[in-house]
Amino acid sequence: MTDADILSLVKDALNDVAPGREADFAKVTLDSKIEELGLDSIATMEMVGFLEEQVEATFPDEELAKVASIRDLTVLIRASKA
Amino acid sequence: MQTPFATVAEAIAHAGSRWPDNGFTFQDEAGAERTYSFPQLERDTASRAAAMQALGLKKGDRMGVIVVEPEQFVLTFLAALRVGVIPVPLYPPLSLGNLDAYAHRTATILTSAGARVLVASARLQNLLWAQVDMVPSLERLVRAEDLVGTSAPQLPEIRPEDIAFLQYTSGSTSDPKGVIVTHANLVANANGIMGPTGMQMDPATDKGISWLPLYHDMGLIGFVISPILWGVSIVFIPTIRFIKKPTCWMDTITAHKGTASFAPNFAYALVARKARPEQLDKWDLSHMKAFGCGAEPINPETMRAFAEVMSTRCGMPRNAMLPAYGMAEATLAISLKRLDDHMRTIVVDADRFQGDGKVEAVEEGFEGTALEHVSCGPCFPGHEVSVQDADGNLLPEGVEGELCLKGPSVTPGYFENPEATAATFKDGWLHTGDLGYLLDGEVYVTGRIKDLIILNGRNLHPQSVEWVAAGVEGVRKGNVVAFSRPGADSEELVIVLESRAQTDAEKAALAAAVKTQVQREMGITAADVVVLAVGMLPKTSSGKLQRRKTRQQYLTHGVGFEGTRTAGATGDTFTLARHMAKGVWSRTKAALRK
Repeated sequence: MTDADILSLVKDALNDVAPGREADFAKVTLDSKIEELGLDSIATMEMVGFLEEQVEATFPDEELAKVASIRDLTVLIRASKA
Repeated sequence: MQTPFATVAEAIAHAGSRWPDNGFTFQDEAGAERTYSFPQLERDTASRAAAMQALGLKKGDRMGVIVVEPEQFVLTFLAALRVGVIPVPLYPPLSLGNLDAYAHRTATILTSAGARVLVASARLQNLLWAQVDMVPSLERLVRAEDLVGTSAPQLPEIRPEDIAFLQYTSGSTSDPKGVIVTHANLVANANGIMGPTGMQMDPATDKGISWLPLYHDMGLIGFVISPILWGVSIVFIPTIRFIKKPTCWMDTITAHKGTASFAPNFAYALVARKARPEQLDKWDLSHMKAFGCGAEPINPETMRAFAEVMSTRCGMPRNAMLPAYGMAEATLAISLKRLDDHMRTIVVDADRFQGDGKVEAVEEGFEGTALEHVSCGPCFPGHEVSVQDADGNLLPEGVEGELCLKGPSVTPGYFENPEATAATFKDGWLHTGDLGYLLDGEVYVTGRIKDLIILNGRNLHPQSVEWVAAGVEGVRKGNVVAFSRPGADSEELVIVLESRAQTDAEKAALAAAVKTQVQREMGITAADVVVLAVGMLPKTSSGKLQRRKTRQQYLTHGVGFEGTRTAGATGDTFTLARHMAKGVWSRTKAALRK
């Protein structure tokens, strides 16, 4: 998957868990920080669940705890596909 | 009918011979299941108990438990109870990032408990190593999977009055409070929850389904301890699996013909929102006799919406929604809706209620403002609920005051914290800090005296949020107020602060910075940050911030002045908010006038 594919997937996930904020999420880039997305911890894990379903993988908890940016998520997604 | 056991240790030892066909089923994160019959649970916990003794742990020692997998958690926790080691369950790092703040909070609690050993999931070991340096009493970090004994444990005598475990579910980071839970507390509470006046659980036919976190009283006492005292089979879904895929809850109930489950309000809203038509077609909830709801304010609309779709589409009995009231200090629950009743609410005249705290039911067609309150059913047998005013006088039925509790489920106090214990118990009554009233012997909860903010079941002290916000450059130090407002599914966090920022752009940037900081440090999202000019926050004559007054102004639009709203609220929310604010907080002021 290219960076653009993954970014678009992440935006789908964000719009799924926090409907009505398309305008905010359109500005999300690979360098956006997770904590700046305005999601609470439950919505954040819902988003992870959406991504896992799409890429058919389960990300390890200990790796998730270290994720700070969208770019970190792309690393996890690629690792799951390896 | 009561549990035949006097302690949980006795129940673990003998549940297998009484109910050999029942047991606990654990799902992994992919949903694959492994079942331990009660006889097998007895053998595995004995092995782990021996391993704990081999580590040098003795009766009365404290042991931190941060274990994600339900299977590992339950075996470890029950093993400790058998040898009198006192487990201290703590929540695992749940979300993305925030590891520093998490480590600090965890260390504070382990230090307060004086834990000698920390047992954690294998995959969390690297994240938790720093705890050994941060907690003076902590001697070692152990993998849950490695607790395998080579000989039989030396089982000490466990008495009903012995401490079973410590619940750190309330208190702030600076002053953590560990609720002492004794075996006698657990036996009394299990009888109330599972017994003839409770959920009427029958080991032969009933099966509980739970995705609740096991470090929290509702999941741990409701679905691990009470079932083993009653011999009821349970299926555990990892919490993380539920959050990622909420509909797995209903899938599991369908697959196992589940009869009882429990969750906070937000979970019912989440599932109703996520359910797709083809899922509703295949779910069978016809065996469910209780969908319990507790741990945060119960929204009657959420309950009705869930019940409507699940009864029409999935065969759920219409009276299955089961509001409950309780708290960690009362072990878990103190009242439940009667099993056979339908959920009952009362619609009262808001002006009357807000004026003098008296309940006056109104009929359909009532022209004024109305409030709807949910009944949490009658108090458990052998327990007492009273409603008291600020001077400790008992109030009659139908009048709002502080809910106070007595009875065998009530904790003896907070662990090694006599000040907090003395502040909570007066004249033999546990003062809950909750506002409510009794009507026809049933408990109605209307709000909280304490300013505690409950976000998705997590308790937050406003000070902890205010301190973080005050650290952001541009915020006037000591001029920040945090409180909650009612949201659609759960409560939401609001922060109001003073700043010298002049332009709208500056204010918006400051609000965004505060949101980010709170998110980073605490892992929570502020729904609204309002930036006020200097001197606009309500203060007492001595200059102390007035949190309640600020909240009241906010909810009645009074604190809009020049504020920058970073997130809008719907009209509905505000209407509800205004009603709640007036009702709760006008009574609160009276209650606190001491």
